[in-house]
Amino acid sequence: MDAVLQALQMVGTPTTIAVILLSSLFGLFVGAIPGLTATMATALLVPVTFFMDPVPAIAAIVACTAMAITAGDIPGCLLRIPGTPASAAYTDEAYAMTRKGQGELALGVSIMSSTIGGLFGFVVLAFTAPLLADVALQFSSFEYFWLAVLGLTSAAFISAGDRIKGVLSLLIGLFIATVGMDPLTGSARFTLGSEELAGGISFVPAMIGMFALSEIMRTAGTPFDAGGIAGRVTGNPFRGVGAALGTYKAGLVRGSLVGTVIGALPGAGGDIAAWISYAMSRRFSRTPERFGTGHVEGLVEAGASNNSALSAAWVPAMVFGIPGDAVTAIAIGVLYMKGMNPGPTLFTANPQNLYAVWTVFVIANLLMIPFGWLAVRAARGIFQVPRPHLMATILLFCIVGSFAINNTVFGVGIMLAMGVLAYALEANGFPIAPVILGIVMGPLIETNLLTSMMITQGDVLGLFSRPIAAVLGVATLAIWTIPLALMGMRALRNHPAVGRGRTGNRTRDA
Amino acid sequence: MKTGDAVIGAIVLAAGVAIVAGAASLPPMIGQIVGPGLFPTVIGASMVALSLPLLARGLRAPRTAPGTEPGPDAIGTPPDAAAVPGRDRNSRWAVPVILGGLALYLPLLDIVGFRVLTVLYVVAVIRAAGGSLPGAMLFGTAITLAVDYGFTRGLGVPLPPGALPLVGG
Repeated sequence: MDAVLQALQMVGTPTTIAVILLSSLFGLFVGAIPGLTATMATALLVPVTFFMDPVPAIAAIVACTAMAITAGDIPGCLLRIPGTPASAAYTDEAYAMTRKGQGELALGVSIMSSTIGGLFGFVVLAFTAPLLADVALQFSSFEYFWLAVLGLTSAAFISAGDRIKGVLSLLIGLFIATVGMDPLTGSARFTLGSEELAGGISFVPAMIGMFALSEIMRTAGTPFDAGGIAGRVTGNPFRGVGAALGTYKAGLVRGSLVGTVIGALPGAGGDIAAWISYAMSRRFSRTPERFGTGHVEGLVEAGASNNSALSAAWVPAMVFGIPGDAVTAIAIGVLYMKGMNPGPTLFTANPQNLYAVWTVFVIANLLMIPFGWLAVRAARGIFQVPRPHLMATILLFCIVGSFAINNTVFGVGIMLAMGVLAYALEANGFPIAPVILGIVMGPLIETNLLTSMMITQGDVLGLFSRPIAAVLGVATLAIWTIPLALMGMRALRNHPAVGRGRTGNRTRDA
Repeated sequence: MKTGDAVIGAIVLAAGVAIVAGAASLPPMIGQIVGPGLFPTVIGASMVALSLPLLARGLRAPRTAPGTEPGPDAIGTPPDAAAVPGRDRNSRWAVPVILGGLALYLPLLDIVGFRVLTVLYVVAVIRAAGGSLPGAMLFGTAITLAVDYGFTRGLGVPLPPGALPLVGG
């Protein structure tokens, strides 16, 4: 109980409250700008968190992300351009509602379902995380190794598009993490004789380059029309929302549940959750024919889903130190920098810090209601910020943020190199989030692998010697081998020689 | 920047081989079977293994016109979900100016200093993206001074003053 009171005191300080409010405003602004993602907002915020205490630093990230995801619905609804990828699933539906004169309702439903979904995800986090932490206390390097590999496997396999490219993205991230001193012997690896590289590739400039610079390059010089339909939404966005949520309460709960489950899977974020929930909403709807015509049902379910996924992604992040999505990967980096190393000891060593972060979750989700209203009212103004000036400002923050990590221009060089790499990767169908997950998880996987291998004296089968490790290891191997086996069987079945043989047998049988 | 699978496969193959070779040259850990080269070897070998299906797919696939292949924008984002409209013709120089400017920024920062160099960079980016020159100069100066003040005074991060003390210091 003392820890809870301490946590409330920590969150109640003027500094933390000011940080939450300012981060929320920043997230709201970035999320509402078409093309700028919540991950980018978080990446730009990290350098500023260096100068904060642990709780306000994490509070800044939680508040900014939640608000950016919610604000991402606004340009989707008004301009048919999703503000963040998490809004893309229901952008057409929301825009169709705006065209029908129901823009206020679409935005109100998005805000309220996001709030409910986010709080639902938080409740799951608060109840399941301590239980999982008790289990995690029994874990040794064997279990952590397999758990991390399982997490990364899921991240690479769940990512949309080409699986081979997803896994390669992950390997690129893991390789980047090996540059610098080896964690056990201190040998310099892949440093090309550079003293600065011996310190490793800093995660902050790498992340700013990959998520902010590459995105600026991708969207540079792409204008959008801010006028027109944006001006039509002027009424109260919360009118009629209660009735809509009441009518589709089953979808609201289902979306929150699905989002929570998907968000807790490493690598699967709010965007995947929203796509799945929108599809499920249509599948279970009594009026599926109304989908696509400006029907609110899908918005209720998918809007709840993307924000519950956001909260649930913190379960593996806090309990095991394994990120649920790109944002929690960034947050884990911040937790380490602040000495709040994620893992089961976080629940026992300094529980007040943990409870403080949870309190911030509740506040950030509740703040979505007034701030969402504010964003809807200010939408026209936000859209009219001149694109060239906005782009230059973001670039300026990229430079200063990368510089600030070690006060050297080397960080800016890392940011530039990683931005170009991410741009090239994305242009060729490689997902970026697994790269950052690889960078964050690389040291954890390598340290636990080497420790385990030293214990087993190089026996690979020894990695399966403990029961939980064996289960996790077999699950990981199954995820890798089953799709390969299925592909092999399919290829064999489609092979002309096999096809002829089968036809021949049938002929003989006949 | 779009490249065929065969070329990507070849690049990945070469990178994988280089990583394995680099890992093999690392000194072993005394008295242990495993060492600092183990993890990079696993990574490099996996890259080599994954390059093969990419190479095979690239060599087998018919040639397609550049820009016709779909590709995900972010994890879990189906292709084109977060797509952005085509570039404005007036701002086709934006990306070269952003990258070229940053490449020049790196060696010049310590010499010219943050304030002067950043104003020039911001102005160049805004112009390349289609903004007007007077507006760019005004905005560039204001935002640079504001960020400089915020970081130097507010956060205690000294930004390079450069070798031009009258303007930079």
